[in-house]
Amino acid sequence: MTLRPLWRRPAFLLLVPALVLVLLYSRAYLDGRDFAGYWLAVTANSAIFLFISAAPAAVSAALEASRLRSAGSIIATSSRPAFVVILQQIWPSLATAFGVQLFALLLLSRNTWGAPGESPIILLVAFAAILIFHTALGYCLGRLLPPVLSVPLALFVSYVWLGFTWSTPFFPLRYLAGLALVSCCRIDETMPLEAPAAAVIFSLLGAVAFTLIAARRWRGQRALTSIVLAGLATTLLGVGSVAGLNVARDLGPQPTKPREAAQLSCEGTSPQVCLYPEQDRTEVRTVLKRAYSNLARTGLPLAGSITASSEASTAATYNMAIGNDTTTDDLVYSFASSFVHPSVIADCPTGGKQRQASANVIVSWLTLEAARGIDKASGIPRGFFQEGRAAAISLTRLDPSEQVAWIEHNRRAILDCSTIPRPVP
Amino acid sequence: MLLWARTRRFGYLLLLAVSAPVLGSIVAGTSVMLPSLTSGSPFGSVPASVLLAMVLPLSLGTSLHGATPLLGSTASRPISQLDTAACLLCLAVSVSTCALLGIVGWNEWQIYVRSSVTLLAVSLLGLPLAGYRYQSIVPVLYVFFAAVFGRGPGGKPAVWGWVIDPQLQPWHLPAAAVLLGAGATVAALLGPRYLGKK
Repeated sequence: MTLRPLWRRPAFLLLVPALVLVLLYSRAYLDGRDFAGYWLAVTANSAIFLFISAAPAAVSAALEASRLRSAGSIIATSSRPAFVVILQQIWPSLATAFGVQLFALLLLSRNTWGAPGESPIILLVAFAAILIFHTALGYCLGRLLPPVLSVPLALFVSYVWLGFTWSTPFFPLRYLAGLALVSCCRIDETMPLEAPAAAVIFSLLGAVAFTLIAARRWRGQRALTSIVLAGLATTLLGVGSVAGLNVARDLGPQPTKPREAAQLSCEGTSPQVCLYPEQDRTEVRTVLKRAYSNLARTGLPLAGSITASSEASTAATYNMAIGNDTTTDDLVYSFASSFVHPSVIADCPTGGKQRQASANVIVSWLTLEAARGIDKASGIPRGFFQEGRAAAISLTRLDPSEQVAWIEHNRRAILDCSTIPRPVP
Repeated sequence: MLLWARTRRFGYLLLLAVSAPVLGSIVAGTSVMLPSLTSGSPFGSVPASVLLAMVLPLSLGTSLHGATPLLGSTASRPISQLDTAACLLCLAVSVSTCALLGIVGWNEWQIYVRSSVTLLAVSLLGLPLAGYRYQSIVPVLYVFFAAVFGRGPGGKPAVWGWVIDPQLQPWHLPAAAVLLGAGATVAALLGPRYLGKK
């Protein structure tokens, strides 16, 4: 058999524009800094590029199939089994799709190279399964319909299946298509295995079903064989859907669950600092210890430990967010704001504004005090907390014990409606 | 003449020219989110009727290609002009269907007309270079580039990307008509590049 030259395979012609699109999209919207350092989040976020990598897979498979469709008489003389012929036709589509997805992952992970951990294999398998599914879908359409219908339909169905299931209110359906994997994960979260597993089960069974339909009308098959194959394909698609939905039935809109606390590595006393391996850098521990001891020196009673988590702080530990590209300034502010998590500000019938204003002053004061003597820490909080900065500076002119008393009282007022916040003296 | 109509599957073309607007009126109000790289938000909405307006140029390209245009080079009749006239006739049928549906209450019908006129026009403009087989790639690429690169900040379509504008601007229809005039002239006079050679 003479192989067509590679540059005439539609998949390879589509490879370059797809790569360029990935590059442009990631430059415009996704530089990967938000989740850099955490391989699970980086890999999950690369799922957004499925809508770019699946398109050339589906379209090129439809084109290849339409070539076979118009060459029916040639196949009739071929003695090779259907699946060998199909595999020879679709391998460029698969190679292109995998290549584009891999390129996207490499691009997205450029700030993560060298970080502890690795891309979770199950996610990579899920992406591969999803791309196989889209290839088989395109191939099946190309085999059944004339190219003028099959090529646009392949593109459209592939795109719509990814895009529309992403926003459906029936959550398990989102995980069959797989784009929903993109909303994973903060550093204190991990992905439940069910999310990628649902995509793998559905996609692989669906891909087999579509391939069977495509192979159904092969040369001179008996009608019975054709009906059996069609029945088998329908059953597989049904089983895949039911099994996938069943696996994903308990998942919410986002494929996340809290990460195991056992993965935290805790060091030191007063404070004990507990970090996930991705965050565990000497400078983080040094800055946090310094900020903690700065606050301890003011006389403010402190909890004994600092933990990486986005939950509200408890009496025993300050829960704070630490990203991979967090600067010293961010760290100090993040530590200071962990004293007043937005979710704990009491929703009182009166005095809501004073309570928010108190929170602003408290965070400003804590940031200012915690930053003392730390290089590259400005002591200025972020966002609306800045509104309390002027009052916090005038607070620092008071006697240290008065300052602490004011902070303590107003922290209580924030949490408890029966305590009236005091204005800055 | 009958053979000419049959080889171009004229019946099917007319059927599509009627059924695509009907489908458009059924899915009225629906829009599809397409990626956008220049608007500041990753996806922008494109009316579904714009995508359906691609049916006509796509099917015309396929049908004219299927009519073995190489044989046309030996014909004594003016094939290029006839083919162009066939395209315009299908478009006229499509536009009339839209107008009828508009009377019944499809308020997006002018957007459909604008889009189908524009997309057929660009496909005719592409004919001399791309030939019958690949001429339908031109409108597809046009819609793609308009959706991906043709939006300014806030998602407002650029002037050149008028085909994806969800609002009908007063200048859209005249501009589409001018473009169609240019496309029809180019297609009728030049024809696909291989016609008339070998």
